[in-house]
Amino acid sequence: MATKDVIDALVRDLRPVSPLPLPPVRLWRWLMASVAVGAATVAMIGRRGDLATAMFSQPFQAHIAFLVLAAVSSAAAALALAIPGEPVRGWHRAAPAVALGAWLAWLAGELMPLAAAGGTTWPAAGWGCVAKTFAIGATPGLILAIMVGRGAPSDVRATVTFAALAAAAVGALGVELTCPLNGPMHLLLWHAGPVMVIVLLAALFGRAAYAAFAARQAGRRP
Amino acid sequence: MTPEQEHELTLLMAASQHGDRTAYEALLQGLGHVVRLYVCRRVGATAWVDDVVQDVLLSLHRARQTWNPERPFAPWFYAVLQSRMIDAIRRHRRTATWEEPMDVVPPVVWSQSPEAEAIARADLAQAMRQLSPAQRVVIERLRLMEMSVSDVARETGMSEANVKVIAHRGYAVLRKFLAGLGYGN
Repeated sequence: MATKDVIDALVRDLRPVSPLPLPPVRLWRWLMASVAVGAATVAMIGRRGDLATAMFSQPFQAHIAFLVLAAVSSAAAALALAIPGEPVRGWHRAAPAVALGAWLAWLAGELMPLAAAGGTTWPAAGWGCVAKTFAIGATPGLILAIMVGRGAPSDVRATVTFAALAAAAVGALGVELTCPLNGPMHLLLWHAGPVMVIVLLAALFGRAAYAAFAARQAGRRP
Repeated sequence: MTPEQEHELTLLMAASQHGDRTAYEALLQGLGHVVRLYVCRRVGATAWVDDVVQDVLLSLHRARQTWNPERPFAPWFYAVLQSRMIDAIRRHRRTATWEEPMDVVPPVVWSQSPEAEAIARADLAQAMRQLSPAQRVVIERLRLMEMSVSDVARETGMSEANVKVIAHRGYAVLRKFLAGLGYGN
């Protein structure tokens, strides 16, 4: 097909479009939506009974801080990468990994003294926490997927991985507010574990999933 | 793309987002020229330049909502262009004979007749034989195996600066030899 024919077809196909808002504006909108939906889901599940006291403990505050940082920085990275030519600095990409790494290191740090004293036991299964991670993170994840899908990322794998981390971090945040168990092994396995699995799956299969999603969107788009 | 061109294309793009078909046609034709020039300067007048031009224009069409008028046009456009060009190069390199051993000439001319391509391959093989052993090792790894400078340095035990110097001298040898055969005129 000659280029002239392609141009003619594209001109015939032209419809007005509204430019996407800038990434910081989109990030703000996603944060508001995630807080609203996450809070509603946590309310439905039921807050942990000791939240009033737990929220003043240093470990709890640290977990919340790391997860908030992970969620915000990874959503920011995903939304920036979804726009061609948007300046993405090195720290955009590093911040989510640093936040996630810091959280894992903190959890490991809580575990070490117990392990040294021989006080660790294998925790009971926490599949409920896994389910809550998905339940609380699913809608923010879907919203972010739609927002990223309206963009045109060139580094698809990184974009999808950051989006998945953002959603998983929101889910883990909600679990911190609903699960009363504080044991480091439980937190590592059943709170951090699902986050790591979600990020790994996104890194491995995100590109194919995005391609299928983008193909469907292209079929729908004017 | 000159600043004046960018200004004009920015106005056309803004009008196109509003659905102005006349502006959009002018935009696509202008960008088509820019893409063609960009690709030809980097990989030569290949048979798949038109493919890249059409891929880029299609990508721009699908992604036109991602350009925000508060951002400059050129970075957005070149990001799409570079992404499509990398895809095209990967696609066409997979179908070319990049895996041939070094004593067979790596493809440099994609679009000519098989006979012309065979002649070009033989000329390049002869040119590569003019290189010193170190130059040949470095250029094979940089250009044929698409290794980075740091990877080549690590594999050969040289410093990165040394790799760059050897590559630079090797390219000069190749250019001089190939110019003597009439390439680049």
